[in-house]
Amino acid sequence: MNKQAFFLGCVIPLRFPGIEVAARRVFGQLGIECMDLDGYSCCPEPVVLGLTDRDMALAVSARNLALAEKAGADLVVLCNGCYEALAEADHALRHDAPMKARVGELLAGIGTRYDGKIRIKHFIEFLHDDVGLDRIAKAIARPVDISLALHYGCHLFRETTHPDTWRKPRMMKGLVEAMGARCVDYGLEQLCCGFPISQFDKDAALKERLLPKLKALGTTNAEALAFCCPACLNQFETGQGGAGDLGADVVKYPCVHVLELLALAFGMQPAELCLDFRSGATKDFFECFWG
Amino acid sequence: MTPEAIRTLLEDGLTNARRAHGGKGTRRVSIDLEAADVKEAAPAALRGERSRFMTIVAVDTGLDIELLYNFSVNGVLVTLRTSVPKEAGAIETITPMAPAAEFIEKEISELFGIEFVGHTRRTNLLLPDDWPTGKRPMRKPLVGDVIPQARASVENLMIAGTSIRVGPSSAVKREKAGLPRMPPLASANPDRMQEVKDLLTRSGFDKRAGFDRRTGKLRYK
Repeated sequence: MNKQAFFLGCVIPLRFPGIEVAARRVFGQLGIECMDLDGYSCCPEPVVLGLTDRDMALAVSARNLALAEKAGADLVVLCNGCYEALAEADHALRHDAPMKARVGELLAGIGTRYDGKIRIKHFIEFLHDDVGLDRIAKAIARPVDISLALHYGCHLFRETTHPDTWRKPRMMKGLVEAMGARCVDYGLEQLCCGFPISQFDKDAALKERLLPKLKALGTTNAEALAFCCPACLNQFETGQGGAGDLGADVVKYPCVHVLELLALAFGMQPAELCLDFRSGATKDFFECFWG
Repeated sequence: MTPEAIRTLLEDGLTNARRAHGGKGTRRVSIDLEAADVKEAAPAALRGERSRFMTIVAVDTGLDIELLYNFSVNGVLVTLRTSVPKEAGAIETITPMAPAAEFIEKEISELFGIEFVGHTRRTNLLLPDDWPTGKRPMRKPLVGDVIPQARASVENLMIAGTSIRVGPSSAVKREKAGLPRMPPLASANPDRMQEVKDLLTRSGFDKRAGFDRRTGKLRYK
């Protein structure tokens, strides 16, 4: 079995370092050694950059995969977008011979290669399948006695070989329930948060994506929203204010990342999670339940 | 002279010349050149016994004006393809070795705003004499393939290998979280960062996107 290496992406280490802290604590507490992938670059981001130039995107992804392969490590990816970019690149390089040859030539030009000997796993998948919910449940010191609504994020539904697109979202739900939380259904779990659209039209992103979700959530008893994608979390945290500005009467929900919840359930204190840059609702929520 | 012999002649004589896509078939030769090499390549193309200049085709690609110099060499169509960045907007005239290029160079100059340095004709051929110099009927705005919403991400990727900016505020946040100021990104290691830049250049993305490594920015806003 290969070692594990974190693929942190850009958004978590640069915008939400508390999630990186939580990830390191959770993996450490579970006794899983997860090395850093030194010298990695952007995955690259699959919506804006990925669609800008496919050849470039695959070459950049392939270099990241080659770094992990050289280190003899499987990748544990902490971000939904990075997961999609890397998993799709890996799939393309395994199945598209002309593309593999083209990218192989580019990698050779910088003195490296990728032979497809590693696995790329979303952290949800890794914790669910490789670690196991029993082992996680046993490590819970403070159960998360909260009603949570889940936003899975579009890229979590991405499968390259498996036919069941709900495979990983179900795993996320199982993971949250293993912490002791109650998952609240609101019917619009699959609707995008609006982050990709916000790059083009912020109002449409709020009106057509975030607002319908917030309205649906308002009919439930959810106390907070849980995410496994930093971009979705960011869109909800910053977008809720904007949705309010549109005149909509919506609740401003605390937004928490699954790894933050796990870290708190494992005994970490909110003060260790670098919450200075998060919304008031999120900070209050952490302080109220774990402070 | 066969197409292959013509190709070899041009490639051997010009260090930056390379075979171009297209130009397939027994009676076509297409060669890509640096703009500065056209002045040397044109006489080479005209060296054959039954050689003549045909025409120049100008194409506005958004970032550059592509110029296709067409010659007939012993019945073979030889195309010398080069690009002139719109910001530079100038290339040397080939009229001294191909006088028939005078009209087409002047036409391109008027319609696309490319200066053919050394061209002697001053009066307009197609446009009225009082036509404003800054207005060129066939010239599009300077713009590349990257849509406005992606430009900041592309510049970040080119400079730092990340889609979002690695700024001082990130370092402060990380320090507060008890993490090293820089994550293990390529931008934390000059050798790794150079590797990413080399890969992006080799993939042709610098050129396709219109990224200028000297300024660290896209050539258009």
